[in-house]
Amino acid sequence: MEKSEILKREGMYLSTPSGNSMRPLLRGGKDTVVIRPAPDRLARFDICLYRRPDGKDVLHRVIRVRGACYDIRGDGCDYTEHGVPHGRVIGVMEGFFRGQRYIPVSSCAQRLYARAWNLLYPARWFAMRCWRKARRILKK
Amino acid sequence: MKIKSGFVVRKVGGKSVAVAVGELSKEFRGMITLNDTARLLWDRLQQDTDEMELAQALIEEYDVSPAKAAADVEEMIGQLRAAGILEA
Repeated sequence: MEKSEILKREGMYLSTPSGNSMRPLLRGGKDTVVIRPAPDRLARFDICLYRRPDGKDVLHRVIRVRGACYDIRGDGCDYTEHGVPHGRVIGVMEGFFRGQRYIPVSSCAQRLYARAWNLLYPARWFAMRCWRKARRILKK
Repeated sequence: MKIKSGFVVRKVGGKSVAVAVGELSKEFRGMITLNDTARLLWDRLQQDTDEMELAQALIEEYDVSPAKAAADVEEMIGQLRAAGILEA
């Protein structure tokens, strides 16, 4: 069954995200995310589940709202996907389980983290690029 | 028989939902919604058990007939087996 159908039927979708593109917030293979049906319009810093044109479903953060489109980036990524249309959005993350503890994204701490992490993006981008370059050089 | 290790049950909005974590999450990508009866059986299936013990658990908890308990157990076991969630 499609995730959108599960969301319609159950009002929620729980999943263990694979990969680490949302680190440090979400640990691939370990944390459990709670997804709800998307509202008519997402807000900045919402974490949304959306489908890429290649059919892959991705859970990343909205960093800019541009009318009916969004610029989206994973917390652990050094690239941004620009102009993702709202029509590709399947759901929005309400919170996640880390072990037995449930952490809602609406909490003060989470909202602060989202803003601070986004503010640090230029420095993170630079650090990630340097790190990749260093690894390439060391491999040679 | 028992549930494969690697599943966790989360309670969200009054509903119990089982999801796979760790290595198993690469193989099993869905979620399983458990009503109260299914949750009882799911919890019992964390240890090695059989249909008779599961049916007995339902009879004790819900005061249902042995036939109804056996039918509910058979249905759930069938679904879990078809989804590849049970160890042999």
